[in-house]
Amino acid sequence: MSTVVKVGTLHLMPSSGTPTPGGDPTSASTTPFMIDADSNWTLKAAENLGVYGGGPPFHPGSQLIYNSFDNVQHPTFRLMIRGSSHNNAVALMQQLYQELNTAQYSAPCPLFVQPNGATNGVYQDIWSGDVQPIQDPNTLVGLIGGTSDLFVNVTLKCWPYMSGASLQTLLNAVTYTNTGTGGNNNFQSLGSLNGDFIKSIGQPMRITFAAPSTSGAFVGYIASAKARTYTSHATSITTSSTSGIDVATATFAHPSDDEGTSLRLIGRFATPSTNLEVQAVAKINSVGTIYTSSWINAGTGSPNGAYIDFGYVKLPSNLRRAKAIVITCTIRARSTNGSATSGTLSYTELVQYYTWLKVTTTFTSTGQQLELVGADSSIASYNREIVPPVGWMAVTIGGNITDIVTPYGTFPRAYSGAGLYFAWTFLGSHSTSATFGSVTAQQMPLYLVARGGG
Amino acid sequence: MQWPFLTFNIFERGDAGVRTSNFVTNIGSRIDEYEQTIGATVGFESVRCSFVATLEEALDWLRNGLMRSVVVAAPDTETIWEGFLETIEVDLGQERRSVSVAPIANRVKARYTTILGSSAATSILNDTASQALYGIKVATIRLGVSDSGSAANEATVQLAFLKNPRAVPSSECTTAALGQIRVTLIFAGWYTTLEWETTSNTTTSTATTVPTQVATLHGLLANPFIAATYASVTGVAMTQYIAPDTTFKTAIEDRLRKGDGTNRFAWGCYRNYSLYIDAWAGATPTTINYRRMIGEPTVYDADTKMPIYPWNLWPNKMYEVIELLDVASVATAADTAARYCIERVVLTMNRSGYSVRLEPTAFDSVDVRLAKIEALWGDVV
Repeated sequence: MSTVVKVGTLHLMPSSGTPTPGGDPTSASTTPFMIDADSNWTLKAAENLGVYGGGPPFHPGSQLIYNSFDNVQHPTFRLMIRGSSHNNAVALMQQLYQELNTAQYSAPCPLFVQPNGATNGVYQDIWSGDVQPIQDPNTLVGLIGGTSDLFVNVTLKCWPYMSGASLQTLLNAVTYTNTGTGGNNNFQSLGSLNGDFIKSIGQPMRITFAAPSTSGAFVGYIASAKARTYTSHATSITTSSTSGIDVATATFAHPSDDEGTSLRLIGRFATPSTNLEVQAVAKINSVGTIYTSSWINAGTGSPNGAYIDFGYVKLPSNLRRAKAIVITCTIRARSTNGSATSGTLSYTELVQYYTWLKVTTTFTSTGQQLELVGADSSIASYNREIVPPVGWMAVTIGGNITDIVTPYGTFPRAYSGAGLYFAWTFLGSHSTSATFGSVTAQQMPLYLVARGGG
Repeated sequence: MQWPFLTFNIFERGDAGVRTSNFVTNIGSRIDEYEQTIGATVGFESVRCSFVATLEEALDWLRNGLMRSVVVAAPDTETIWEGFLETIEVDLGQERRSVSVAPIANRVKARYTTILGSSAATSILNDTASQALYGIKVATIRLGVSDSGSAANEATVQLAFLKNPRAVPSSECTTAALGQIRVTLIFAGWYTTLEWETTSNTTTSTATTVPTQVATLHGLLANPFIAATYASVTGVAMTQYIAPDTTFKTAIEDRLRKGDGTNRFAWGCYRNYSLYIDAWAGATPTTINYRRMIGEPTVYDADTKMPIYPWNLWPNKMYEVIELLDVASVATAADTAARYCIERVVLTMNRSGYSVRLEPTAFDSVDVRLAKIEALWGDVV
């Protein structure tokens, strides 16, 4: 097997080792292109663009605050173009240039590289390709000289990451029931993942949610999470206090080595009165307060139950790495007006998450799907970005977009050991009667360099 | 952790400039220069962001962008800024185009002095087409001595001139490279709209400034841009008299500036498009809200010891640097070597990273401060 290098539909390496003069560039066996071995061409990995803060003269060494990567410009390689005639050679060169530079016309051209001996190849979106004619090193003639063999220098500027051939399916048509416990609860494991970034910045996902038949205003909470502590309370709330009373407490043993996560505090309330407000207070080992949420109305518009997002806690790095920390979350309740108020704290969830996303839209008919596209599966059709620079969400029917969804927060990304958290409300209420019966979550494995088997 | 993106959700302008939930786009990941300011007596004050665009995008913003509303959300979904699109600037190579609602006025009258020396005003002139697009924006033209007919003519002329958005174009013809097409969006916080309308009150009896008078004034606003007012403090008794053609901003701030009779207040439009009035943090300067160690790029909550993301830093907070902790500082002094009360937060984000500037109250001489107060009292009389 020989190394395969393709840009779009064009093969740049002949499978026979020799380019075919005037051959069909869309076939590896007959392509007229060949990368000059003297180029010693190899793919360049995107360089890490870390953002650092602090440091000298006050502190030795700066701290890494955030990681990211910028576009990569691969080393220039020399390409031989063997035409059947001078005109054919020029036409092939033009075809190459057109193929490389479709990003602003339709979609980026995908680069595909599978090294000799590798089981798998990688894809990478090409933003632009520079094709510079040069002289034939043997005859010292080039474009001017009327030769049927042309040499060009090709420079590709690409999206930072390389990706696998297709999305890896992590959850296949699973059911989410909008409940904290049970076989299809709010948090389901994504399983094992492929890719270079599963333990750093995460990898983009594509998630499809088949909406239930319920229509109305929808708010979804979607997270990529490492762990979730579910605590059933079923605690009745009855008070007229306007200063607040403690209702119940849940604990979370926060691991000591999770820099990339935050802790989200969630409460589910049944039959809340319209004058019921609730609050969450988080403490370390029941002593030091580390977070106090605002008072949130649990009753208005929530006759079938309220899903309350109390916010999040992010522990400082030095504390996180010291020892395991037990975080206690106390739910408090009060009356807004001094009149008796009531409700039931059904359960709490403490979600240790990497990314948190809130989406709002309106479902209007049956058969709709909610699609979250952070990566695309249709590489073979070459008609859109493999990993869109800007993820998008939409409501669709039969693949046709019917509404654009408003996102708040961060699109979910796949991490090693993570799960997908998903809960929602319809018309303001946290109903458990309408389920999302078919949720498919996929991730796009990303790579910094061409790979072998994994 | 991956570099965090802010969610920058743009919503269409509704009739009369009102907010809608009609989602236009999220330009969070397009922006490569971002600056937001939040002030202790404004709330969400301004956002300036820019991004490279295609010609079609740039034209869409110029044609349709004014008064679109924005909700900026942090990576963990909390809202960190809200406002409306006040000015759009587009650089098209050597050409610059811009449109802005800032100079607009679509409800105009002229106030003048009659030949006999008395104060008079023309009737109010409206351009309903402009109001239907952007909301009501009032201008009072102050003339000298005039007759009613001339004053009315001037008001009519000014209305025709001011009713539509203004541009600040420029053109250059040089040999330099043309450059990119870049769109710059300048948003203003909803607090700004308090300057759009005027009010008056002939009642001279007193009432409590906060919450009573402020709530009453909020209820008189014709534009529905500010949803509600919330006060965690109580003001003082003050005359309810408001001179004719006083903007709501001036009238409200006249009352808020009285504080609780001992200390000033902090106020502004924050989340949920509402006006919040709170005690000034500088009144209790030893209660520290934010702390920092110089060698670290992180500000911590002084109470919980938890780190605070730069976009979650707010004004009207006491801020202290640990290495500069004071020895025997004056307990009542808001500003000392180690601490000060934050008056404004300026957050800047670009490809190089981010920076946050925590600004103290601007230093004015006593004379300047007295001059400001006197000028305001002059408007009331």
